[in-house]
Amino acid sequence: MKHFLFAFFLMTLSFLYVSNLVWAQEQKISPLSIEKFKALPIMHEGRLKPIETFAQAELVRFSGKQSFEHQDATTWLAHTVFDPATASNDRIFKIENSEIRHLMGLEERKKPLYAFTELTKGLQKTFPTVEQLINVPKQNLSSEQTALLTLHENALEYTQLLRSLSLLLPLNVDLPDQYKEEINPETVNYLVLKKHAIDIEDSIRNIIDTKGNNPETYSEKEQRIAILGLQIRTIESAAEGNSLFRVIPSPINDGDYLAPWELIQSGQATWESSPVIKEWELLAQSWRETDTTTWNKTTQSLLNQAKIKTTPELLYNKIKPFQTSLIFYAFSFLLALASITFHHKRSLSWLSIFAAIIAITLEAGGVCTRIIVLNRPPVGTLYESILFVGLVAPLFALLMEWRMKNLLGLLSAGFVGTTIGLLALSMADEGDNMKVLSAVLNTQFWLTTHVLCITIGYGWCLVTSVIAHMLLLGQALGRLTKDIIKNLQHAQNTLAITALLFTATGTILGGIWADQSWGRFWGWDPKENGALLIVLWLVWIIHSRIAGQFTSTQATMGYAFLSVIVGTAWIGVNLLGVGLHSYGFTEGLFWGLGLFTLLEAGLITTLSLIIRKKTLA
Amino acid sequence: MQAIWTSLQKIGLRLARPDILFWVLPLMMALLILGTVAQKNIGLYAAQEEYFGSFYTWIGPKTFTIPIPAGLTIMGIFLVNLTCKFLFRSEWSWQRSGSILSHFGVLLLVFGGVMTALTSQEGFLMVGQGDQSNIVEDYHSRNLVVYDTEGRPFVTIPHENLHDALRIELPTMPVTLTIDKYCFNCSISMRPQSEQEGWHSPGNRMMLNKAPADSTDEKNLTGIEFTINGAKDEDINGKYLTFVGFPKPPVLDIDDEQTITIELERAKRPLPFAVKLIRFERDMHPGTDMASAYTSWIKIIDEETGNNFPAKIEMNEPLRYRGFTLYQSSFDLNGDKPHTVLAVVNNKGRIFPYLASLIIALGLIIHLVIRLTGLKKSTHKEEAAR
Repeated sequence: MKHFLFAFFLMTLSFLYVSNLVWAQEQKISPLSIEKFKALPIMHEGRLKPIETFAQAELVRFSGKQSFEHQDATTWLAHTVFDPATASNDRIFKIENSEIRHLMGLEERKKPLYAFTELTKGLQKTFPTVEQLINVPKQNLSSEQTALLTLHENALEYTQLLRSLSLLLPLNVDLPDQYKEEINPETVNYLVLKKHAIDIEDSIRNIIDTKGNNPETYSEKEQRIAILGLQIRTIESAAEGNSLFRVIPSPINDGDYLAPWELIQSGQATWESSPVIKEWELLAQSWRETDTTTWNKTTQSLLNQAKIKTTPELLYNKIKPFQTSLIFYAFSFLLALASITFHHKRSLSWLSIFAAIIAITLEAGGVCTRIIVLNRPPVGTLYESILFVGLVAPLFALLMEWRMKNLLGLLSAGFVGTTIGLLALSMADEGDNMKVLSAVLNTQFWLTTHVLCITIGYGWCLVTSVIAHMLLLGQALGRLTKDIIKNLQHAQNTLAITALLFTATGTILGGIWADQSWGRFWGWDPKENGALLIVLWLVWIIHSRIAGQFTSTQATMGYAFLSVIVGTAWIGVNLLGVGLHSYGFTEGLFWGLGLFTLLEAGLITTLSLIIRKKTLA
Repeated sequence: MQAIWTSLQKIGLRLARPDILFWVLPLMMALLILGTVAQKNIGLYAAQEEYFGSFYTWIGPKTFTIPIPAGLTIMGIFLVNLTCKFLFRSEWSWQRSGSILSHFGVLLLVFGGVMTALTSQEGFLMVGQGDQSNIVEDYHSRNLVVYDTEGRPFVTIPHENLHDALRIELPTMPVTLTIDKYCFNCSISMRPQSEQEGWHSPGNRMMLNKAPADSTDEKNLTGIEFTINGAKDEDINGKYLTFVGFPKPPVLDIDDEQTITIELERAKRPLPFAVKLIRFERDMHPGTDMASAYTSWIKIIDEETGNNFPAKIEMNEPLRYRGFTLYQSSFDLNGDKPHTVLAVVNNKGRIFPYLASLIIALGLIIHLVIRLTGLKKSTHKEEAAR
């Protein structure tokens, strides 16, 4: 009990410490409270999300980071949309390719970050090249060409952001005298001018009818009217198709949101959307004037009108459950290792158990939040499958610990949690990784049955492999008693049959889904073949062990190699870039998987040779 | 009789030996890996045919290839081994019930696979909004078809039999068709002015070139350039071209009474009922170009049975009728009206995977429960022994 309380106390302290580290990032830089603003909903990439998630995704896209000069992403976004003139001088474009920097005529810097205003000349210069590159298949592009295309795409996205509220922001225009009584030159914006647009157009038409098209023949007053008309048209054409900042609820399609320009230019603006537009105008004004009262009142009002609550996602962004759990898994692993080293010291064991439980709780919280936010089962993408296996595999290892009580299950939980956590970190998409799914995947039933079944199977396979590694390592080092070896061998065989149950059922369920969707049960698609490979491997090892073709050590070697088989089936087959499940080729991943296979083959062979030598001796 | 049974049992026991499975499974895995990697270069369909749909295949560099057993051989041995194991080596006891059930499930699954391979027919039906059709086109087979004046096919040659210099005598008419160039996958280019003589429009302006086969079989543009000889009207004789999907195939007035149309087309077969497309819908995720759902609102018109009824086909929600299953496969929104593409499958073995999956899962669960219960007992025994 004493050990338990000591461990519990220490883990609570460490949990609070790590939590504080995470939440400490929320220090306010702007004088205005950004908390309510970041919770406002925005429609982006097919789903409603808090502005904070959008801001982080955009900033990561441009700069590779989630903060800009000690400002959080939301503050940077507010500055960009509410005060674009100064924001365009922010150095947020990260250009790592030296040839592109040279091509764009940019100076070399310690940190290759550049402002949009610095890029404009280079963008104009390289535009003809980009026009040609657009039609070239992506796989035929060099890394420089890809970088150039990406830069242009990012610049286009950024200009959309800069202009997203340009219809609400004050304009620096020279108003003709006849409008000065009706329009306040200090606060004039596009929407105000638009009310007089017909009158201005009529005036211009009259001028052209009487004096022709040459502005030099116009009087000063006429020139000012013509320039004003031109300015209105320029603002309109620059905003054509600007649908990035979708923050206004659509008055027509319930649940949809539109960008302010989209709302105006598509003619969907109604009396319902008018107050919302006005509030965004107030928001922009209060940001520029640092008017705390109006800012707070307006953000609260907009938040009250929001059609969804973004709190779960904000909490998810704040806690970062998968990154935080990685720390606890690593703790758990090291503590379990220390406990084994120091002859099963109980306080260390309890600490390790608590760390693993906190890590699993955090991951479970993360997975549940994703289910709530995305309103679908937790696995729909490759990245999500890694997150889910990162939750279930350590959980299964803990279950094994509960049965075996020899710390090896605990050690496995920490190890598998840490390695999958690291894999998840490396596979995470930049920005927002909560994605909507394509039509064929948009099915709750199959995502719940087939996908979860197969990913749970991956989890069992990995635990089997880790236990088999430990068995080999323990035997090679001579650290395991005969009882423990027998216990572990029995455990790994049970684990293997459980893995077979889930992978076989999951594979067949996948076939049935394919039958429902594409009209064939089996199409030899790489992912299907990968799943079958795991099943065949397990069947081979299990049957050969039972029939006596494999000795216990050989069967353990086979189980240990399951990590490579699962890696190949789970991630490797996607690298082929063919079939219905491919996620594209990633060179780093290819070499990583190759190296992992070699290392595993080397490790397993070496350990088995040592065991053989010991047995013969 | 007893002697026959004993001999049969002896053979069965030999064929059920675990050594066979021990060697067949690695072969199966090796073939699976080879066939999967090959898809990168030759595409899914070709790899499927070569590695999984044949009795043997060749591997190695072009200069030195060796034959290896392919899918049908390996699966055949596996099936025999599994059947014999099930019949002659099973221990018929409650303790082994889980194992027996899962083996039976696998047997059923493989049997279903054989049934599917032998009986299933796949194709697609494309129909425009407001139109109806009962014609299913094959994904892979293409035919050279010559239609008569009434639009009836009177010559049909599968594309596998087409080749350069193939001479085809058209029955009941003095005309011969000689294939000058056959390409399974053609690229189209402008015909140089110096080579235009003797060509009929549009062959005088465009030419077909042999291109490497695309790894996606459906993308291969199969075509021919050919010469017509023997027509009384000299204007008819000359060079023509046609290819799959060509909107203006050559139409030749052989004489005053006979007109023929020469087409290269996907193999067609009729359905015993027609499908009318009432409406096609594509829902998008807001603010993206990613579809969240495709829906075809159709009407089945079955004159044979008198059944006419509306139906909805969506992704993952096919329609099953008279042994045929219709799936939402693709669409075309480029024309004057939307077209839906429905995959049509007739598979007599489709029930087997459903049954097999249930039986395998049930078998494995029973096996696991028996094993875990056994573990619990042995753990208690060990504790007691200590």
